[in-house]
Parts: sequence; C-alpha cells; structure tokens
Amino acid sequence: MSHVRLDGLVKAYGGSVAVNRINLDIEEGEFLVLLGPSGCGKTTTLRCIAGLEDITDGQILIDGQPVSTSTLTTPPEQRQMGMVFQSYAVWPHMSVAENLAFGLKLQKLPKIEIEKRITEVLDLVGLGSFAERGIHELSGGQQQRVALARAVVLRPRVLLFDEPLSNLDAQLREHMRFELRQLQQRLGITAIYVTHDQQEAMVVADRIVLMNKGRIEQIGTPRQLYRQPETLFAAGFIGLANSLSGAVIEASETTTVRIGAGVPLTSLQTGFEIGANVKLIVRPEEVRVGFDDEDGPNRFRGTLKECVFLGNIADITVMVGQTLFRAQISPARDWTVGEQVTLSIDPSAVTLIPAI
Amino acid sequence: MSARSTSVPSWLLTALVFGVAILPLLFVIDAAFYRETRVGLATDRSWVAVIDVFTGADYLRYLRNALGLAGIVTAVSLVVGVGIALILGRSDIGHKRVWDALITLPLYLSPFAGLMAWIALASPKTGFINTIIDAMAAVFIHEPGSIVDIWTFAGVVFVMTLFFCPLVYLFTVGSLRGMNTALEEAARIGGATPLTTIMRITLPMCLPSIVASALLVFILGAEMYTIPGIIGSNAGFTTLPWRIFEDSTSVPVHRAHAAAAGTLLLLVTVLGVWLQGRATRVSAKFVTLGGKGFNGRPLRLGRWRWAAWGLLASYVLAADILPFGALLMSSLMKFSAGTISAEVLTFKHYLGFFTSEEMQIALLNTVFLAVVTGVICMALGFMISHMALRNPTRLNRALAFLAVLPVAVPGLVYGLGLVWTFLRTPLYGTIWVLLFAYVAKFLPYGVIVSRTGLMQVHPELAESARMCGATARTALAKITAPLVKSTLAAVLFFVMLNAIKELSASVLLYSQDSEVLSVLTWHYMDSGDYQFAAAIGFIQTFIMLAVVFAAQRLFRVRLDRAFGHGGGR
Amino acid sequence: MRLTRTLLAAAASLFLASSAQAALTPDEAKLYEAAKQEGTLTWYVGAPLEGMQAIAKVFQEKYPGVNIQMMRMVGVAQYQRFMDETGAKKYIADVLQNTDYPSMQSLVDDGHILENKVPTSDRIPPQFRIGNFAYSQYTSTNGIVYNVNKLTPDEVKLLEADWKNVLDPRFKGRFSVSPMKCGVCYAPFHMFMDPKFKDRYGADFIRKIAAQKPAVYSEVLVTLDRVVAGEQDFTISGWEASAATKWIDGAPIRWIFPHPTPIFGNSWLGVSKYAPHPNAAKFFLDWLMSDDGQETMQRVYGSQGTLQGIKDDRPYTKESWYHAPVELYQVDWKRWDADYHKDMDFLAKSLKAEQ
Repeated sequence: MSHVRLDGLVKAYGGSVAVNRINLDIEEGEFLVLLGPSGCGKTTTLRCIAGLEDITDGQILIDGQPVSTSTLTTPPEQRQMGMVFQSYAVWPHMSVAENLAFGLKLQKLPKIEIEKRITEVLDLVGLGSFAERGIHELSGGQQQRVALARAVVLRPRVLLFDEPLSNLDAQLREHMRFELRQLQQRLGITAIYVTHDQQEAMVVADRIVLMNKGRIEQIGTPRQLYRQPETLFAAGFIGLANSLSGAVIEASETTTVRIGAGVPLTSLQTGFEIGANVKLIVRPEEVRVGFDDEDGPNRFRGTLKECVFLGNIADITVMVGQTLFRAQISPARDWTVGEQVTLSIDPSAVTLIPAI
Repeated sequence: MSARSTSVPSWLLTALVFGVAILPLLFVIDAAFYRETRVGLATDRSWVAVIDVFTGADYLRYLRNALGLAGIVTAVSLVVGVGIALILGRSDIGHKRVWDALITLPLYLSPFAGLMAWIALASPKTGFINTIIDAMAAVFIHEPGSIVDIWTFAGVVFVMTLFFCPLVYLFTVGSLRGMNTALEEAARIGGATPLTTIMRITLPMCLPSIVASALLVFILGAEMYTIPGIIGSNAGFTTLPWRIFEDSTSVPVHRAHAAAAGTLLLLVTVLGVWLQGRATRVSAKFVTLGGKGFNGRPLRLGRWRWAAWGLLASYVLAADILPFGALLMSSLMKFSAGTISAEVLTFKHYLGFFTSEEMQIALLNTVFLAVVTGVICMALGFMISHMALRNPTRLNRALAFLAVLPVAVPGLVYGLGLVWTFLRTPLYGTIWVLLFAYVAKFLPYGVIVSRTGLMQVHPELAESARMCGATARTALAKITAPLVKSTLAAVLFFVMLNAIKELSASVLLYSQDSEVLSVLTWHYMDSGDYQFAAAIGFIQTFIMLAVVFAAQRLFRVRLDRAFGHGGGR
Repeated sequence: MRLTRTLLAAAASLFLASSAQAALTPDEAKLYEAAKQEGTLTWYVGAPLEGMQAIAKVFQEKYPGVNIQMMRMVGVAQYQRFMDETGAKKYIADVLQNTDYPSMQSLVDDGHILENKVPTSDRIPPQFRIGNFAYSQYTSTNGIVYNVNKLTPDEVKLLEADWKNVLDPRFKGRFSVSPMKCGVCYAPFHMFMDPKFKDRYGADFIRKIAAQKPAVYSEVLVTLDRVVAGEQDFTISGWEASAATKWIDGAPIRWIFPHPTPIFGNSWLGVSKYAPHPNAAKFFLDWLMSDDGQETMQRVYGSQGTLQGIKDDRPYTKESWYHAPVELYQVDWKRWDADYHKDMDFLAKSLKAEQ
C-alpha cells in the first residue's frame, strides 16, 4: 500500500507534449482510473509512473520518495510495482508457473516460498489447476488472469493496469471488471488503471481522473463526474448528455437560461451574471416525457421526432421550438412519431458550465 | 527503457561501428576524388573519376544493367522462393524435413563453384546435359544440337536465382510457421477461396520478412560480380560490379573510378534500406507474437499435389543434384572434359588437400573466423536492432542505419577501404584484421535479420519483465533474447556460411598466417586449376554443413524455423 | 610419428645441405650464413601458386634454415598492396614477383627496389632485366592452343603458318579469345598493333577476328579450360606455360607458334628496398636466377628460363608435334605501357560490336 504523487508531470516527445503538467495524489489503497480518449496521455502517464518512460519535467513521488524527475529515473525494476499490460505480455516460452516464478526468483526467495505464493495467487485468480500449462494452451481470458497473477504475486506497492481488458470479448470484459475490483479490495493495494471505456471506469474506480489532450479535465468519484461535469468534454465523454447553450436571463436563487428561440431552462446552480453565455448539460434520463398540459418551470410542449426501442428503455428525441432534446424513458412504451408531448426537467438536473 | 541507462553502450557501439564499418567506407569515398596513375592513385585531387562515373553514359549503363539484372533475379527468386515456402509451410505435402534440407542446400555452395558446375553442365557443346541428351537423341535424330546454353543472359539469371531462392524461402517459411493461422481461418470462414486467402491474408502477413529477403537478394544480386562477369562477357553485357572488378584489378588500374562506382552502388543501397524501413514501418503493426498463435490445418493440395511436387523436384534437380554432381565429377577429374572416361579420373585433388599443411591451417582459420564472426555479428546485430527499435533515439537509429551500409559496397572496393583502415593499426597482417573485416561486412545481416525477428516480439513482453523486477539486461537476456532465439540462430548460420565463403575482402587482407580456404580456392581457380578448386569447394560445403549442424544442435533450433520470425516455440 | 618425420627430414636436409653448400663460393656462403641468421623471408608471388611452391620447396630443401613465406598477390594488386604497406611503413615483403612489367618498372623508377647484381647477370639478356634491379624469371610465348580432337592436321598446319589464317572461313565460330586486361592476353594484340605490322595485321585484322565470331571469355583461364573440355576448338589467347600445365595433366591439347611469335619477359623479380630480411631475400633471388634455380623452374613449372646457356629439359619439347618458335617478336615495353589500355579497349569494343 503506497501513496503516489505526480507533481507537475510533463512528458514530451521531441516537440509534441503527451502529458502536460499533471498534478495528482493517489491515496493508499485507492483504485484510481485514468480515463480518456486515445491519445489523451493516460497510458503515457501510467508508463511514467511505472518508470518505463523518462519524464521531461516535474516529478513522481512514491511514499514521498522521488522516483522520477527530469534528470533521474529510478528504473522500473526498483519501484516494486506490478503491471498488467494491454497485450497480456505473458511470456510464451514459459509455462504459467514459470511466468509467475520469474520475478520471485529474481528476488531470490526460497523455493518453497515461491511455490506457496504461486499456488496462492493462482487460486486467487481461479487458475488453480493451470500451473504447468503452456501459454499457448490458454484462452485469452486465462492469459489475462496469468498476467494479473504475475503482477500480484510479487506483492507490489502499486498495481498498474494498462487497458487490461480491451482484448477480451464483451461478456468476459464485463465479468473481469468486477473480479479486478474485488481482487484489489481484497489485497487492499493501491491501483492505477488506464482505460478509455467509461463504463469500465465507473465499475472499478474509487476516483476517476478524466484526461484530455495531455491535461486533467476533471477528477472525482464516478458519481461526481457524472452528476457534476465541470466541462463540456467531461459531460460528453462520460454518459450521454443533451448539450445546449444559451444566455442567462435571470439570476437569483436559481439561474434561468434562454436557449435557442425562447425556451427558458432553469437550474438550481447559481453564481452567473445576467447576460452571461453558458453551456447547459441535461442527462437524457433526467428528461421526463408525458402528455399532461400543466405549466411550470422547465416544462415545454414539443413534437416527438424519433423513437428507438432498446428493450429496457426507449430512446426518444423531442423537438421544442428549434431545440432537440434527447430522453431515455424507462420502462419503454409505444410512442408514435409526430405525437405532441410534454417535456419536463427537474432544475436540479440542469448543470451549467460557463462558456469560454 | 530509460534512455539514460543505455546511452553509454550506444556511444560505445557507435564508435565501434564507425571505426570498423564506416571508416573504410569513408576511405573508399575519399579515394574517388584522386587523380589516377597507371598503377594507382596520384597524390593530387581530381573530379575526373566522379564525373565519369556519375554522369558518363558507360557507368550509368552498367549500373542500369546491374540493377535490371538484380531486379529480374529478385522477382524470379521471390516467385519461386515464396511458392516453395507456401508449399512447405502451409500445404499437406509429405516429407517436409527432407524437402526443406534440399531446398536450403545451395546456401552451402559458393556461387563461383556453382557457376563452374553449371558451366560444366550446360555449355552448348560440352555440357554434360547437352552431351547426354545428344547421345540419347543421336539414336533418333542425326543432327545433334545443344539443348541448353548457360552462356546467355537467361543463364546468368538462372544460376543467380538458384542461389537466392533459399534465402527468400527461409525468410518466408519462418514467418509462415510463426504466424497465427486464426486469421487465415477467419478468411476461409468468411468465404474466401484458399488462393484468395493466401494472396490477401497469408502473404501480406509475411510482408516484413518477404520485404527483408527481397532487399537482401536485390543488394546481393546488384553487387555480385562473379556470375554476371564470367558469363555476361560472353553474352555481351557488362554490369557495374564487373566493371569495378576490372577497374581495380587490371592494368591500367582505375582505382578512383572503382571507388566512385562503389559509392554509386552505396547510394543505391541507401535508397533500398530506406525503402525497407518504410515498407516495414507500414507493417510494424503486424506483431504476430503477442502470446497467441495456433497452427491450423494444412492446406489440402488435392490434384495440385503433382504440380507442387514437380516444382520442388525441378528446383532440387537444378540447384542440388546437378551442380553438386557436376562439382563432384569435376573434383575427380584431371582436367575439364565433356565426357567421362577412366583416364581423366583421379583422386589426387582430395589427397592433395588432406596432406597439405597449408590447407589444414587454412581450414582451422576458416572455422575459427566463421564461428567468431557469427557470434559477434549475432550479438552486435541484435543489440543494435534492439536499441533502434526499443529506444529509438536519434543516435540509436543512426547507429542501425550506419551498421547496415557496408552491405552496399562490393567486397572488392570495401576490401580496399578496410586495407587502408587497418594498415595503420598494429593488427595489420594478423588474422584479427580478417575478423574485423568479416564483422564489418556481415554485421548488416545481423542488424537486418534480427530487426525482422524483434519486430514480431511485442515490446510489452520485455517491459513486463522490468515490472517483475528484472533489470534491462536481465529482461534482454531472459525474455527478449530467448523469444528471438531462432532469429539469432538464423543470423549465426547465415553469417557463418557467408564468412566461410567470403573471398573479396579476404583476398586483399590475408597474410601468410591467416590464409583461409576461400582464398586458397581462389588461388587455384585463378591459376586455372578448376578441378582442384572444385575439390576444395566440395570440402568447403561439407565444412559448412558440419558447422551448421553443430550450431543447430547447440542452439536446439532448426534453420528452417529460424529466419524471419521470432517464435521461440 | 610427427617427431620421427621431423627428424628424418632434418637428417635428409643436412645431407642435402652439405652437398649443396660445397658448391657455394665464399661470397655466397657468407650470404647464406647471413640469410640463416634472418631465418625467413616473405615472397609476394604473382605467378600461379602451385609451381612457385614447388620451386620454393626445392630451395628450402637445399638451403635449410631459410624459411619461405609465400603470399600470392597478382599483378597490379600486388603493386598496390606493396605501395600501401610502404606508405604506412609496414615492411613485410622481401622478394617481389610481379607478372606486370610496368608495375615493376615503376617500383624500380621510384626507388623501391634494392640494387642487386645477381652473379649470373651477364648471362641475362637486357630485355629480361631492368638494370641490376629486377630480373625476369621466365619468358612467356604466345601461341594457338588447340584441342587435338577438334582440329585436323591440315588445319593445324594452316594455323601454324600465319596468324592471318584464323580468318579462314572454316574457323568461323570455332575459336575463342579473351579481352581480359593481362600481359599474356595483350601480347599478341600488342604485336598485331605494331606500326611495323600495320599492313600485315593492324586494326583491320582485329576487326576481322571479331567478324569470325569467336567465343569471348572475360577470364583468360576459362578460355583455356574451354579448349581443354572441347567446347572451343582452339584459342588465340593461349600461351605456352598455362597450356603446358594442362598438357602435363594429360589434357588433349597441343599448341603451335604461328609466325611471328610474341615473347616477353614475365615474372619480374626484385628485392624490396625495405626488406626486413635483405640477406635471405638476396640469397633467394640469386638462386632463382642461377643455373640451378632456372633449371628447377623449367623442370617443375615448365616455362622457359631467361638465363642463357642452361639445359632445356621441359618435357614437351621432345614431342614430335612440338615446334619451337622460329621467328620471335620481342615486345616493346615503351609502346606496351603507352598503348595497352587503348589496344585492349579497341579489342573489347570490336568483339562486342560483332556479338
């Protein structure tokens, strides 16, 4: 269990900056996810933490000890970290047990201890009877578990995951997420996990660091990131969002924004001046659709434009004035395109972001 | 891996490569800018040679001839070599190991010996093939005529192709055997015919290996002077390497011209290496050794079995049985003859070989140089490729590029550069000069071949070892090197074979204590004693077989599995 | 086993040595002593290795204590290596043997060869030596080499009469020629291009040879080999010494000397001015040019020595078919040096034009 700290981390390749001044504290035993689109710098950040890349500026500290600075790189083998790679990177010329024993032998542990640990960890990942198997006899999911076991068996201070599930099929992926999380909880180990899959991130993470173009976009619990996105990018990347823009027309205990041609939308958020341009985020599941004629705040009449039946929910699009709203309604019912409907949004579900 | 921890070896290696491989090249380039005298170079500078070679119609025509020839030879070798590789790597044909050994056998023959064999076989009037066919045809037809004639352009292409096919074959079959067949199966399930699958899936997957072998064949073909030179003059065309040979060996010597022409070939190769870099960059995503891989069901040949069998058999006949037979026959004859009779047969060449002390010394020197050169080129080539691929700093990439350059320059010219380099060192006149020369000359193969192997090993395999507590060196030794073991073995074999055959630099650098077999063979050849030379050539083949056999046992790898893939299974 | 052999060899050489030493003059004996002090010498060999090895073997048996290290380097390549080594002050060679006269001439002119008057020098004609510096070991005579199974006696007679008869229509496509740039290849063409033969041969003759569509081989020894095999009926790029080695092996070939016959001094020997073993070198060269050395060369190598008044026991000279050349044509080294490249280029171009 260790505490990892990134202090103004910069990683540049020639002229292009992959990671741009990142500050981050990872608490002991925390499961932190670096989330973002490809090329956002999340894998580079992870590789810097692992010591596989030199850093250009700033520093990385583990338990207060600097391991990477612009002039010094503690090599990866001295960092006591475990890492699970995207390609599994299990060694095809060794058996399962040999893969696991590799690092233990380097630590010069007694043979009995090595065997004990291997058995223990293989049981932990559910490969108890596979020790002597060759790598080529294993399925993709099993190879993934070997990679995980190999990282864990060394009892590392920090466990690093580089998109470990992206090569697995959808079902297995979903299953493994929970397993990974359980395992980390059981071992109580600090984990840093890179993924581009926001669902995966939400399942495993204590905290998510959302990255974009080499910078941190937002840090927070999965709930915070979903509920209170601080940027349009955050809102768009995590979950679905109706992303609107308009100007503030009233600011008191609540803030009202006029969007498009006259639709006024009220939010409980405050702190905006009248006339200010803002962006509005409304999650589709927060948009309610009915047939009553009552008036009230955030209630509009509109026309049903589109409806997609998804089984447990219906994904529908409603046109209010010139503005399109997307709504997800559960349970699904039969909708008719062209129907007149009433659309309502709870002001607490309207997130405002100052437009730049 | 941290750049900071590898920069020292980078600089050391760069210094070594510069001193051993690049300095001779610079001497060669420098020599192009001197005025020539009848017997050598004057002390004053001149542009004459460079202008003659780079702008004169003659030299550019010779270059065109050389490149055209190399192009045709490469194309034919690719078709035949890849075809054989597909049959032996993918189909259900039987006796694969036997075929495999026979297909690679020409690697154990020096091209000059092969040429002499084919001259004995297919000269229009006295070639064994023609005399035998004539004898048979005389029963039916009165007018005997020559069926085959080696003294033609087609003859040059034919003999060269026989020598280069095994290279293409080895590279391709290695890659085929290391490949994940799931992709092929996916294509078949998707409705593709076997032929479409091969053309659209299988071959593109082997592309890095095929490109590497094509580049090697092209460069070797463009720089070869023996076969095009000896036959070409009779067929009426001259290639640049032969002109370089004439310029540097016959009076009046045109040393500056030879050097300038060597530089010209160097530029062509730089282009080729650059193109290979581009071609393999495109295919860099084809990392086939990620951890998965199953050997699928072989392709059923069905009624094509006889066609496949016919292709293999004709190649074996043309490349093994006939030339080795002719060579053996020559080595047992007192002098060249079109028909064999008791009075021309003798065993004296073999007796002469085994009783001569000089031969025994040459034999020892040859084996020593081959093994040491092989090991050094394997280790350095692997390190250089590894650094360039895994830690592609500007220095490391430059190093990999520089180390490949000597492949371009014909041995004759490069040998002179080596002479000029080593003349001023205390090593001159010792066997160590030959060792340095061999390393410089064959390091390019080490770099090119291990690059192909390393590209098929995912970098994360070594990184995961680092994360398990291994130092960079341990990860290299315990993970990456074992995974490319067979590629390393391929480098070792290839370099050893070529070191045993090496002549053009040896003949310039040998001294009385460091005589090698190839030089001795050359002396007999050069004195017109082709029969004794044939005997030495035959013995040389056995030595090569023995050396490779020993190495295979030592490494527990098979040569056919070695080239062009990194699978350590 | 090995020890016994060495002992036997030592005993044998002792016996031989005492008999040979008896023939040495006091000066020679002194030189031999000094040579033995040096113990060894390095000989840069330009002629075919096997013959020279045989000669060196005879010398070493006669004069134990002087070991000969042979390094074969041919023609101008030897010149260059020697010059490169000299430039770098790496003095390795003691005795040089170069088959290219102009190379040796340059070495003498530029002062790289030690002045060394061999005891027999007054019996060596001036065209076979360069002052008292370098000496030609043997002569090369050009002729037509033919396969006995391929030419009729009439055809042999016809060819022997005059070089011009190769132009006879019956020989079209039956012979070979090599435009290789080497001394023996050039010698006949050097003669054909001699201004004094302008009307007899000249450029026109060479063009007509090309029009006979001979087989062209870039390597002159392949030319000989193809006649031995019977692939070609005869070659005009032939010379006695190389044909003789094949004839001794039993090859079905003979040679004739059409008139006039080009002859030139070959195998130019000299002692390097920087010889690390000057006494051994001088002693060896003296022997090579002595009666014994020359006769040994004739016996084991088969070329005719340049020393006048020696026994000629070359085996083929007793054959009935062998006719020694009658009318000799001595090459002109000055014109040789000046026209070599031009003449050979003209030959190559003429041959190519007809292909």
